[in-house]
Amino acid sequence: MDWSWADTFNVAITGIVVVFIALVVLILIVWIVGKIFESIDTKKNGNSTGNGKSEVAVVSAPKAAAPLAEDGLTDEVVAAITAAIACVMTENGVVKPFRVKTIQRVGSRNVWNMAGLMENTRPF
Amino acid sequence: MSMFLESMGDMLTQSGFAAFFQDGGWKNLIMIAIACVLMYLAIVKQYEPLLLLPIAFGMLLVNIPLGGVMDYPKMIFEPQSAMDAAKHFPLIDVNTGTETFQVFQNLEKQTNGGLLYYLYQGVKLGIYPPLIFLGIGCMTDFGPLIANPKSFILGAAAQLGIFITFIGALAISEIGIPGLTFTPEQAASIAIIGGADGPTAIYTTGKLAPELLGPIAVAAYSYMALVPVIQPPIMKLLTTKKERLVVMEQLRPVSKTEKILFPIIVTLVVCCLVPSATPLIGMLMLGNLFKESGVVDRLVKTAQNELMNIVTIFLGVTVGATANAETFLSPQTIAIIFLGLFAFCVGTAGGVLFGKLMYIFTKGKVNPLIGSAGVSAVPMAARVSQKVGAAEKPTNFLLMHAMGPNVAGVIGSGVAAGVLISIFG
Repeated sequence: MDWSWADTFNVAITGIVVVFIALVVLILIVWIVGKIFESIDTKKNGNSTGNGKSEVAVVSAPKAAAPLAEDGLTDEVVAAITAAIACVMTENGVVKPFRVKTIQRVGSRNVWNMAGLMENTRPF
Repeated sequence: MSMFLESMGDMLTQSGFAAFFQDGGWKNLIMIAIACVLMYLAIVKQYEPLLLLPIAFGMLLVNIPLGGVMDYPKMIFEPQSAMDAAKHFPLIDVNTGTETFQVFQNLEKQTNGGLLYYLYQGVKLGIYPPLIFLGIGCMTDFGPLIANPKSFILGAAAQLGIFITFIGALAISEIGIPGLTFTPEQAASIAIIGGADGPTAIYTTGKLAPELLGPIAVAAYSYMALVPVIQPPIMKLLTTKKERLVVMEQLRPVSKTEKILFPIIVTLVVCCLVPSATPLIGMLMLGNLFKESGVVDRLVKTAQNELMNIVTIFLGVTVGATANAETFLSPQTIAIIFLGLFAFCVGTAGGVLFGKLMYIFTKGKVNPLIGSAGVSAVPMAARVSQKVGAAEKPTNFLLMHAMGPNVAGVIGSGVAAGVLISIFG
C-alpha cells in the first residue's frame, strides 16, 4: 500500500476531529437533558413548598435539633447519618435540599438479623 | 544401569533446559528474566498487579522451550502403507485408466494447539476487552461527568497523544533505520497506548497489529501504573501556581433518571457516529445501565466481580503469551516503549492545555489540573489531579471534578480506537 505523509496527517486530523465532534455532541445532549431535569425539579420544588426548600423528617418526633445531643449522638455521627441520607436520596432521584430535624432509633429487630434477612431474601 | 543412564540422557537432551543452549534458546532466557522483573514490579511494587502479574506469567510460560502453550493446531502427515493410501485415495490416470497411489502415501492428521492458543482466541476475536468494559461500566459513576458535561472536552483533548504519536511512529519509520519500520496499522496500535486504557489498546492492537500485542500491552499497563510518576512534572510545568490554586464549585446533584438516560444517549450517539466503536462503548454503557437501573443487582455483581476476574485472568495470561522471544526482543519493542511514553506525555499535556483554555474562558473557575485526568487510567489519573492540587492547597478537593474528564477519557479513547479501526481494520 502506498502511504504518504498526506495520508498520515489525514488520519490524524480526521481522528481528532471525530473524537471532538462525538464528545461535543454528547456535551450538548447531556447539558440539554440536565437543564430539562433541573427545570422539572425546580417546578416540583416550587409546587411542594413555597420557598423551594423541603424538610425531611427521618423519624417524626416532637423535639427539634436539641435532642440530638441528649441521645448521646456526637456531631460526627449526626454528620455521617445526614450524609448517608443525602446519598440514598440522591441515588433515588430526590435532589431537593432537606433538613434533618431529629434522629431516633426505630424498629425492634436487631441490625444483624436485618442484614441476614436481606442477604437471604435478596436472590428471590 | 546403562539403559537407565541412556534414558536419563535422552530426557535431558530433550528437555527445556537443553533447549536453552540450542539455537536462539538464550533469547528465551532473556524473556524469562524480563517476565521475572515484571512479576517483581507487580508483586513488590504493586504496579497494576491484577493484569501485570498474569501478563508476566504468560510471558514466562510461552518462553519455556518446548512448552508449546501457544502452539497452533497443526496438520501433520502420517505415513501410511501404499495399499492403505490406495484404499483411501485411488488416483486413476485418465489416459491409461490405471490406478496410481504413490502420490498419496501420507494421510493428514490434526493435532491440538496449546492451552493458551485457544484462550487467546478471545483476544484475537475481540471478545475479552469488551467484556472487561462491561465490568468497568458496572463500576463507573458517570455522575461527575453528567453534572459537568464540559468535562467531555478534556477527555477529547487528552486523546491528542494518540494521533500525534501516530504521526511520530510513521516519522520514525520514514528515517529508515533497519528493524524500526512500522506499517500504518502498527503505528495506530502503538499510538492507542496514549489512550491509557488497557482493554482499548489490546482490542485495537488485536484487530490491527496482533504481532505487536505483547510489547504494546506491557507498555500500556506499565505506563498506566506509572501515571503518578509521569504526570505531575508535566502538570506542574504547564500550569502556574495561581491556576493550581483554583477551588472549583461544588458539582450539582444528578438525578437517577439522568444517570439511567446517560448510557443510552452515549450508546446511540457514539455508536451511530463511529460504528466500529460499538463493541467497546456498547458494553461499557450496558454495564453502566445495569448499575444505574438498580433492577439487576445480580448481573451487576457478576459482571463486576466473577466475570471480570475470569476474563482478566484469560486476557492477561494470553496477552503475555504473545510476547515470545522472536517478536519481543526486537528494536521495535524499544521504539514502542518510547513511543508509548511519548503518547502518555502528549495526552497529559493536551488535557492540561485544554484545561488552561477552560480556565481562561470560564474566568478562573476551572482548575487546569483536572485536564490531565482526561487520559483515562481510571481512577489513578483523577487521584493524581487531586494529589497535585492538594499539594498546593490541602483543602482543595479536585477528585470529583477530575473524575468527569477521567471517565470522559474512557469514552474518548473508545471513540479514537473506533476511528482507527474503521480506517485500518
